[in-house]
Amino acid sequence: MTGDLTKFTSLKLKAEGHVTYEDNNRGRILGRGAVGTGSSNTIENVLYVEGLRHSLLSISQLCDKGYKVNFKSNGCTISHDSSGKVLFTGKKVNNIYLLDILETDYENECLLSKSDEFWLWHRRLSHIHTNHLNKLKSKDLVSGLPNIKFQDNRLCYACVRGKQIRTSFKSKDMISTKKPLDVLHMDLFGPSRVASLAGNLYALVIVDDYSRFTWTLFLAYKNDAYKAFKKLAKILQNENGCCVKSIRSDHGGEFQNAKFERFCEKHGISHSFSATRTPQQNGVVERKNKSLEELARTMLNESKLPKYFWADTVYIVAYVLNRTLIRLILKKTPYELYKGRKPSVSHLRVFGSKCFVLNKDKDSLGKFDAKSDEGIHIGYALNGHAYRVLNKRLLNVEESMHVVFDELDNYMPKPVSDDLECDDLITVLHKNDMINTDANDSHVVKDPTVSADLPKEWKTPRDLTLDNVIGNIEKGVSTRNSLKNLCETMAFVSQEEPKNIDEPLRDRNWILAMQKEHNQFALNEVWSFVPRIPEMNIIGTKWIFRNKLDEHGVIAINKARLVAKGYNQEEGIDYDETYAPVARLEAVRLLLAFFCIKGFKLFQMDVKSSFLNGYINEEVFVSQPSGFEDHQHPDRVFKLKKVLYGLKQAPRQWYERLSDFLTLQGYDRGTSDKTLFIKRKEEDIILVQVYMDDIIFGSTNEELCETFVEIMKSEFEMSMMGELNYFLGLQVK
Amino acid sequence: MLKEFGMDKCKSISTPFSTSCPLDHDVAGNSVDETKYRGLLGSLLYLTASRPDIMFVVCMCARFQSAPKESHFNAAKRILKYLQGIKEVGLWYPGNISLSLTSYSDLDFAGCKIDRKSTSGTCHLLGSSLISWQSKKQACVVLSTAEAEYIAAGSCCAQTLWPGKQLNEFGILLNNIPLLCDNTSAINLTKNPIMYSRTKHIEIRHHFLKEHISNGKCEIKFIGTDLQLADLFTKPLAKDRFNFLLNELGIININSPLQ
Repeated sequence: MTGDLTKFTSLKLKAEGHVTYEDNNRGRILGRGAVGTGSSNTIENVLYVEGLRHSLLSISQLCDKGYKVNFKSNGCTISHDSSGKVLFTGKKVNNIYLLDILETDYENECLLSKSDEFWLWHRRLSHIHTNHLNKLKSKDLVSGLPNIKFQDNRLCYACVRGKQIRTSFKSKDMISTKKPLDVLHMDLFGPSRVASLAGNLYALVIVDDYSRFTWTLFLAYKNDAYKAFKKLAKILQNENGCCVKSIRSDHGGEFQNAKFERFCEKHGISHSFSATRTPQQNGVVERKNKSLEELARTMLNESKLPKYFWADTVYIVAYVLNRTLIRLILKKTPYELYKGRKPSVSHLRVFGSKCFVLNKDKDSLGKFDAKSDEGIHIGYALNGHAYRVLNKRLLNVEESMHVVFDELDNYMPKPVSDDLECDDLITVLHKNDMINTDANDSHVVKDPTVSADLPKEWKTPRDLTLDNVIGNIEKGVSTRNSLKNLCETMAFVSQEEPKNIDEPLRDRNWILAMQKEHNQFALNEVWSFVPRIPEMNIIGTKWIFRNKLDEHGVIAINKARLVAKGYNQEEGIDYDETYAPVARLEAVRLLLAFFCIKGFKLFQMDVKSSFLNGYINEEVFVSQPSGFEDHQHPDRVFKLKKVLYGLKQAPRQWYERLSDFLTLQGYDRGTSDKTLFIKRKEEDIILVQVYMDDIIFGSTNEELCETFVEIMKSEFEMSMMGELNYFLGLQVK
Repeated sequence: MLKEFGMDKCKSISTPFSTSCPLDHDVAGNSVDETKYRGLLGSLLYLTASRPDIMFVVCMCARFQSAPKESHFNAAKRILKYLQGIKEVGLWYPGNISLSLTSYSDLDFAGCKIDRKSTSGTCHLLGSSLISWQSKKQACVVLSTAEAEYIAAGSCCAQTLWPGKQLNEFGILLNNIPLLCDNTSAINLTKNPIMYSRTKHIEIRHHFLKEHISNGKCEIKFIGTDLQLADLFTKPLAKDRFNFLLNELGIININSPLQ
């Protein structure tokens, strides 16, 4: 018992009675507690007595608790009776044994706890896992490890920072919904590189959680998702008589927007989102996307149909999966779970197989005309029991029940070839197209006969809604007759001027025109191939397509021209002088009048790709022309040796080249009109008027003309147009 | 071009401009699409390179490009209607005639209703072939017709010198190129370097003409108003006069039998 409150390590205050001293004074007991320095060196059950000035330790009570007290002449020791471990030592001062409990026992001091030691070793051994540490120790594989049990009772922050992994997503082994439409999972995939026939690029996939029944909706734009979902939700609710209770999607803007929110609010649908960047939580539909894409890809590649049938294949896959998938746990097909009856698959046919559609009173048939049209099977009717067939004769998609299939026809394993050498540009382009669209299976050679049969424009049956109309309605009706007229004139030149690079790549005439232009480049040694350096100012290139008219206004040639985007050029770096003189129209007229009066003939000629003849003084780099990229070195650029159309200095460089050449040949440049070149020979004179690449010339002596033509031909590639009849859009007779 | 502006089925008309109502700003009129108007004007301006007959009226219309009104558009459409009538017109360059360069200069005094500036018209003929023409609103306001004619003749002279020089390079030297003007006072002005009270304000640059006449490059002559071919480029004309001038300038139907 003690009267010093500071000695207690723990104290429970409770009035318990009194102690009586030898002089019959009584001290009140205020509480009871433990005194000591640590958990092992404490004396328990110490009474706190009011007013006691000395602390007293009862030997008898110590002995009762199993301690042994050993008194010697110089001190005493208190030790465990059983183990003999010394807990306290006392000193004898003036015949009283003193025990200083608070005096620290240095021998027994714990500088390092076992727990700390574990963490030290954890860190020493570069944060290896606790279990691993235990294994090392228990199997005695290394020496020097302390004999402690390693316990993972604390979080190592460094380990978390360095080693944290994603939470694993356990698959559910129970079904959390009770009936269809309780939860709908939604997701969008796309954009596909190729628009489908209806012009759609995205597919919205909706999966019912209970039945796993799948709906696929095809969209041209992402923001159509709301409209499509609204439409479907109404149909589904009507169909089932129950409401959609909850939908689940990712945070995509097409789902997380005000319109969706309002719709859900109005219809009491709870809209839950998967956590950001955690598509796993939307796993039902993400997995479905994978199946849809994989199977659709397989079908499309097997059938070798063009890529724009992707939407049809995705639709078929969803259609088939709904009928064939087995729902886990419930062990039934989605169709049965959703509709309540067993699905039938007897009507399914191979996608892309050859088929024949009965031609029922669509157009008046002669008695002995063939009764059916050949077609390609591309799916099943959306609403109704029929097949969707691409009619090869009418070039449209029709739905018919009267179809005969030849499913085995298409199934012939084609020889696989990865020979990429082609002499024909068109095949190269075809292949490039393929390599671009699916990089994984570049070794499958597209069968050109299948896609060549397929039309570029589409007609549609009359009784479809506007949404389903494929192609441009504003084009009006094109009858086969009008098309035939068009085709007759189209035989040799293309009538339309394409606006972008994709259109001409499909037209043979334009490809030839482009090839011609490209050949000019090689012939004139316009450029050299150099690797790209970041400091270069690369100027883009572009194809320009023009139809050249003859004097009657009829298209004579398709001209393709590669131009540089000169507007990206920087003055001082890519060009300095740009001025080039051109002839005044008055000068041309004067020349005409002069020759008329004198009664001599004027001739004209034209320099082919004239600007390509001008040498370039500056270092200019251009990118590779589209359609003619080098697939081995896509990052290379061209360094120009000669001028390209569209460069700011192009006209000047050409004019300089020509004028230098002509002065070298002994022609004088006009004093007032710098585009007029004159050469005199005794009494005769030859006059040459230059208007950029158009050259008019006439002479009093035919010989002079002939020599002029010859020297020009030797230097430049010329096209001799003969007598002057059409100049700068002006007709001359 | 007619097709492009939806005028390919219009009725034809004999002259490209109406003599009765000259164009002004027409502030009260309805506005028309500026882009379309300018597109039309651009096409017409290109056409003037081979069709001097519409030169004057196209230039007239071109002055109203900033805020075109319906009246301007109608005037432009009238040009199209005129073109519909005579599509097959070209310049006739006859052969085997004497090689001589003649210039005509004329003006419409204070012809512009807006700022009362005059319009000068010039044309140059080599032999009887029309090689160059111009219709231009003068840059300054003038006080008398003589002064305006004088300015017109000055610019005409400048224009004349160039083909003269060009022909020189062809090997033909021409001096004293006749410059035909229908105003005697203007002619007299060039001959007598006297400051009259009414002419002393004429700017120095317009005396350019005087110098060239004195050094014999060109020679100013009088021509009656009836035979003044540059009339075509200065003012709207009636049908008969218009056709007469076209004939004189060698602007003829290329499909008709040679005249």
